[in-house]
Amino acid sequence: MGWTGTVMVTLLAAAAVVAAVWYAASRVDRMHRRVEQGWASLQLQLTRRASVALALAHENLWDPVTSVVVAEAARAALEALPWGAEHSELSAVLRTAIGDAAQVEADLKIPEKALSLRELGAIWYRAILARRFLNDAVSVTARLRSRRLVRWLRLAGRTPLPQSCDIDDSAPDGIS
Amino acid sequence: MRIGLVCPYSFDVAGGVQFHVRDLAGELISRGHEVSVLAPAEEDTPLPDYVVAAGGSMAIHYNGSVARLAFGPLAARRTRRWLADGGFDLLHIHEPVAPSLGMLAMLAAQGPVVATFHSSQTASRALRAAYPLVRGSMEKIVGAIAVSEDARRTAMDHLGVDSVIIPNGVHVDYFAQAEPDPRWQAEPDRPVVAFLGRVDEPRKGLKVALAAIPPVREAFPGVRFVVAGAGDAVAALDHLGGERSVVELAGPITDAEKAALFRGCSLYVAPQLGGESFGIVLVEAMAAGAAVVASDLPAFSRVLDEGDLGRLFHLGDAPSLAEAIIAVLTNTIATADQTARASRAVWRYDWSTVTERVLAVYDTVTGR
Repeated sequence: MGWTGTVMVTLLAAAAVVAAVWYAASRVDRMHRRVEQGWASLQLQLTRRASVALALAHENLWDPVTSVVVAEAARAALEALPWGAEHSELSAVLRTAIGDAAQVEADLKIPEKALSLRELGAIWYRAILARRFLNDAVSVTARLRSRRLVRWLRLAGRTPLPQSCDIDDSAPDGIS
Repeated sequence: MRIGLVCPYSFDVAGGVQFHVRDLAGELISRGHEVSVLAPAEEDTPLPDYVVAAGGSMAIHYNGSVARLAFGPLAARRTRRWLADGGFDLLHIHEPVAPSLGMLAMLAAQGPVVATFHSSQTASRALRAAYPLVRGSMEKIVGAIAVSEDARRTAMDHLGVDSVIIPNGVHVDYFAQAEPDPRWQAEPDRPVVAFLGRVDEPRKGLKVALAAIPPVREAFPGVRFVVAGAGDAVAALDHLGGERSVVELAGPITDAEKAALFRGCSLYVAPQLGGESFGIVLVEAMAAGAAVVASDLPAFSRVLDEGDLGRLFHLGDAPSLAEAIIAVLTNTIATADQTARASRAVWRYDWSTVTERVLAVYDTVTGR
């Protein structure tokens, strides 16, 4: 192999390295965007869930005592933006307010109650999805960033390692 | 919303994933969404107008059965053009790891991607080898759906993707309100046992069903076994001898005939040996009010609520199947109770519920 051959091989190898680095960097970048969008989506759905809960507290879905507690928890969750333990507390309060599966089944037979419960159930399900999708993005990102190429070349830049969201959002039995 | 659905398997032949994609598209359109489906199909296959044919496919041994897949430069070009023309808000790719249009679309996708995992088969050797090439594009999946717990576990173990479970949809009313077919109508002394599925595909378990005939016939001399499904049954029926007269071959049947069969039969047997991730046919049978006897595959056990909504028998065990059939035909009151419970329970698989859930995923993924 003459010197042209050596130069060619060196250039090809360099190009391959550049391509691999570029590819890894674009994947890290894509995951960071996914995490960011995931948090935005979760925040949106949690805000909506709290808003719906607050609205329902002003309807005749529950007795006055329950309504006051739900309204308080919903307000606290709305003020605790972007997220926090207040959303877990709202989940717990709503589960107590809504009751067990038998209660839900009975309430679903009353048209006005059914409408409210379905609305809450639909938005609750979206909040669960948003958190699941976010946490999946977080774990994929962590896996990607633990790779040597990404660590050694600092392809993640200054972006802090994303955190997962661990609020309690389990839905009451029988709705959503 | 402008939604692009990608189906990896050819619309030239019937199949669970194809039906699911077709029905989902119909449901989304009826709710006012704009939907385009990209699927392999020959030019002369009659297609709904929302389906874009990506050209011919090849029958390939894949995932334990024969699948019609599309690949090669033409398929790649058509996929890219469909994506460019579509201007979709969201791409929903079915079975993204099948080496076909789904994977091509994954590689070319720019916007948010939703993926549905249907299969519970372990990834093929070829896929494991190719995985490093597609791993990057798997990261485009913002919202992953699995049709069952088994499919979810497979996606988790092989691809590291966590998914939410949204089952396959069924039009419950369609089955609940179908007219029974007089050809396959059970009578008190002539019970009808229905089998459905490709007769020459061993994992559908026809052999197990046929081996259960003698004891069942002894208890119910008038019993009829109706076998519906495509394929060559001669080999399977050859060694039946005297029991041959009990078996009636219905050949491949339409959706309407399937509903009619389930409405009239005494019970439906699902003796599959494996490779089933969900068990949509069990749900259809339950919706039609038929009693169900199924092998105790994890997927079937779950659909039957561990035996509460139908009877389970030991996988591949003909005497156990015969025992279950006889029990269902003998204890008519218990069976009636069970089918009543089952026909209420299947509403969770109705397309109205399933579509709402899929739309919730779309909303979450697009940040609406």
